[in-house]
Amino acid sequence: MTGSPGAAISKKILRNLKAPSGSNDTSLDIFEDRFQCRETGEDFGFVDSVPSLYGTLDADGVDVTGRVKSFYEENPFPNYEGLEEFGQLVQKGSQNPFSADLLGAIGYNKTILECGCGTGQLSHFLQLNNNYVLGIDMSLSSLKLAEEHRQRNQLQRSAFIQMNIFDLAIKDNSFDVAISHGVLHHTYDAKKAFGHIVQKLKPGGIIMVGLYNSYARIPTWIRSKLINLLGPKIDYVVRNRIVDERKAEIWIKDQYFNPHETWHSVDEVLGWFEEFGVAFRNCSPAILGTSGEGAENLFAKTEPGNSYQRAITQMSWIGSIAREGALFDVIGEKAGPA
Amino acid sequence: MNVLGISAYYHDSAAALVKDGEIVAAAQEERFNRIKHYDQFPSQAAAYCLKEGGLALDDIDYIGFYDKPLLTFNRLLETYLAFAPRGLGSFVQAIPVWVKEKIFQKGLILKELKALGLGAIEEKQILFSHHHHSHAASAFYPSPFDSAAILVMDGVGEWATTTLGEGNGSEINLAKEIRFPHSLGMLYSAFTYYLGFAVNDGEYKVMGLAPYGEPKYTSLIYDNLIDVKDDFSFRLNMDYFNYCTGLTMTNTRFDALFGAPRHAPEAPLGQRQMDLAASIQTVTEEIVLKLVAALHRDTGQKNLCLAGGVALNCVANGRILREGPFENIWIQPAAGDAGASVGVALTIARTLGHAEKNPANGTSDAMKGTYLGPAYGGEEIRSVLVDHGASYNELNNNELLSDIAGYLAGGKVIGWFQGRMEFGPRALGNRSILADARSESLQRVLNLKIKYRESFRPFAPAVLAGDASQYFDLEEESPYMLLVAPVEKSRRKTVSDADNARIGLDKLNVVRSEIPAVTHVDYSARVQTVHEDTNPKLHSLIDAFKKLTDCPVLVNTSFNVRDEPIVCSPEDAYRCFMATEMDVLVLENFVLLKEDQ
Repeated sequence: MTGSPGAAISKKILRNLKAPSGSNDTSLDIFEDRFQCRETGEDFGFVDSVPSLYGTLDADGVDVTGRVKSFYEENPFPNYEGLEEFGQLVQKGSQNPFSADLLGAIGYNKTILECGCGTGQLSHFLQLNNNYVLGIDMSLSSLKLAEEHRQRNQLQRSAFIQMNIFDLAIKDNSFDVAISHGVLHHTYDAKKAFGHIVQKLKPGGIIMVGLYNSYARIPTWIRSKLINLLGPKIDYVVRNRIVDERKAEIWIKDQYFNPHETWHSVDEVLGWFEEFGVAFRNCSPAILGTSGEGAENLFAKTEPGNSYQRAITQMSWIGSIAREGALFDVIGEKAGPA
Repeated sequence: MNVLGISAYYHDSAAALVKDGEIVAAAQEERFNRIKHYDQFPSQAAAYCLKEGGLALDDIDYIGFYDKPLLTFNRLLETYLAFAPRGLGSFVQAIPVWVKEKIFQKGLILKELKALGLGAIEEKQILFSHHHHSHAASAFYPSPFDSAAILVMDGVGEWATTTLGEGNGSEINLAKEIRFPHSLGMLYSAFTYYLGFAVNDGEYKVMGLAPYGEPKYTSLIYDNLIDVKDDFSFRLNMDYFNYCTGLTMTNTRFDALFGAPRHAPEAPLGQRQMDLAASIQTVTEEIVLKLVAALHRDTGQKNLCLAGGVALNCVANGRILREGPFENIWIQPAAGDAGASVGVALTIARTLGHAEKNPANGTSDAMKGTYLGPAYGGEEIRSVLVDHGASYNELNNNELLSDIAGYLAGGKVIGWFQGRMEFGPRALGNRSILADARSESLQRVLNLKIKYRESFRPFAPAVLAGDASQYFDLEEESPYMLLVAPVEKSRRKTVSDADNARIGLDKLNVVRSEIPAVTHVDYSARVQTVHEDTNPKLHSLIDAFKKLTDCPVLVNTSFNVRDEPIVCSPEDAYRCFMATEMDVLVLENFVLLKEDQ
């Protein structure tokens, strides 16, 4: 029944899973309190009643991963404002241009992988339109909130599993859409993580990656030096967006006291695309002077412009997206037949 | 004679076509352009009406506009002068728009009509009617009565806020009016605003919230805000309101009177908000009943026709029917400004075209069940489904009815799209979401996972007309879902003392009747009686459901999500179905199951 997390993972998601570090030929069955590998009989127990396929940590990343994980265990992000009903979540999502455009661009009946789903709001919203969404994160306390919301509202098509981005317990070429919005810059190697995610995408599938921008993040960095002195009100989002106190506190921690963050440029991401066989589709906010400015939707095919246009665009972001986290998203299509 | 009626430039623009006195088509622009309460020229609705009537503009004798723009401008000007210099800000802000749009409205309408590219029309063919006359005509001409008293109540027309009169044959005589700023609609809207809802949209929420509260503030309202005279008239104390001079409804004195500032939109609703809603609802009902009594005394009529936004207050309508002196009442289903387009078109047809009054036989009206919008053919539907790669079955009528009745009985929620779209704010079984009224959990599921709206909002029943009196204390027809009636005593369930002691939104969790999904916390229900002659398909469906379950009642709610207009086309319906947790979509005889998509 819907009450237990086990049975809540729909077949459309379950058939895309494999054992952590296992081969693509392994498959999993799900029980009340654990996954079991059909081929090897190995059990993967839930942790704190959250489904978990966490796998092993990369030796190079142990330090960063450990610090970031304990940070988000303490500060589940982005958190809910009070006891939010699904109806309110949908209202907010439809009024927010980013999530509304994203859902519109994704369309109907898709399987979606969200890497670094945190407390799961975006995953919950994207399961509208009969989409099936798997949200993964390493923070159990975040996933617990996501799962709690899912159960309370009896949502059938979003599912949450604790996983490690560098050892995804997901079969290659299995999802229609993969999203990682504001996550990879907290991993020890963002490019490597990107490569892992692309692997899980079907040929012709769409990937969207959202990262801190090297230009636009500068004002946040300056604020981080002042915030202890001047207080949280110097942050635009706290002043204008957040009502709930706990949520505001977590936003401030995430933005100014994160144990690890890296900054990235559009050109750098284009390099990743090249390396992992992803064709550029679009960028949000749009690259100035390109067809992206009039794009029909977030996933529309547009031109990435030249390096001069991209530099100007990113400088302009210091005056725009900088106040709300300085995230930019690049969208691409994995090579191969759609 | 062909007349195209237009309602626009205030809120809820719409068009209606009357051919030789018969209402052929009517629709609101918001359904086509998907912008809720769209208030500019209704281009797509007008084009649709012409198409439905098989006409070009050249075939139209007159264009009727529902309001006299100069009079309305006069009201703005005089209101400003009366309150000067207090309202300079809002006045200055309003003037350029009014000068541009309203004073030159005839030219503007002509320009918009020509832009349709559907033929030629001349300026002299455009006629204007008084706002409240348009409403009164929309209430009386299509009604089943040869003569009747007429009551129009809304926020404000040009000057009038409440108009009383009578109709005889083709003649409408509006004898008395209460003028701006003294307005029952504005008073209700002021509370709608104060409770944190949007004016001209949230009034339903206030009405839905009222039964959760106690009318604790009625004497405060009577003592300070409104003075009701014995002769039916009333005056508002403008010291507490801001709509004459400002851009909000209420002012700080109003806040002081009720002891707190305006409730923040979207903030959780508590007992205080419920008590305020209950109080303004009670006051509204009492004043309406007094007006109705006075109107009965003055006219000596036995029939009453109602229109104007306040006539959508179906709780008050139910009381007029049960407690008022009139034998019969009829309410224009498109009671708001959209319906005035029908009123002005009928007025022209009657007076200049000498059209006969509709076949008034005392029982059926001329609104055709209000199914006056576009219908879509099988091939059109199929191509939408194919474009989306949807998985569907096409069934014959018998299979369709038995399958869908079975799904309903199994607790599934059905998107039901059939025939011509309804005109007016209610979905009456052609653009509806249907479900089993016997379910104890459906109100919550429908509100939170399908409509995405507040959990307190009630749902309405669609009941076979022949069985209505067995489930509700209602002897009359209510085809337009405009009457609230109590659930029949024998259908109620005993409620424990503990459950009776619940307060506020917790009341929702008590099962009060055999049909809990449509029983409000005060045992009331906003009933739609379903008739074989106006909606045979829905009638057959409920009949099939009754054969399975012995229950002739379904939940009927509009086919949309919160803050969106009701669906119009198969494309809209598909999108809405996919964006919500609806289980089954029925487009004419095409059936889609969510699990197959």
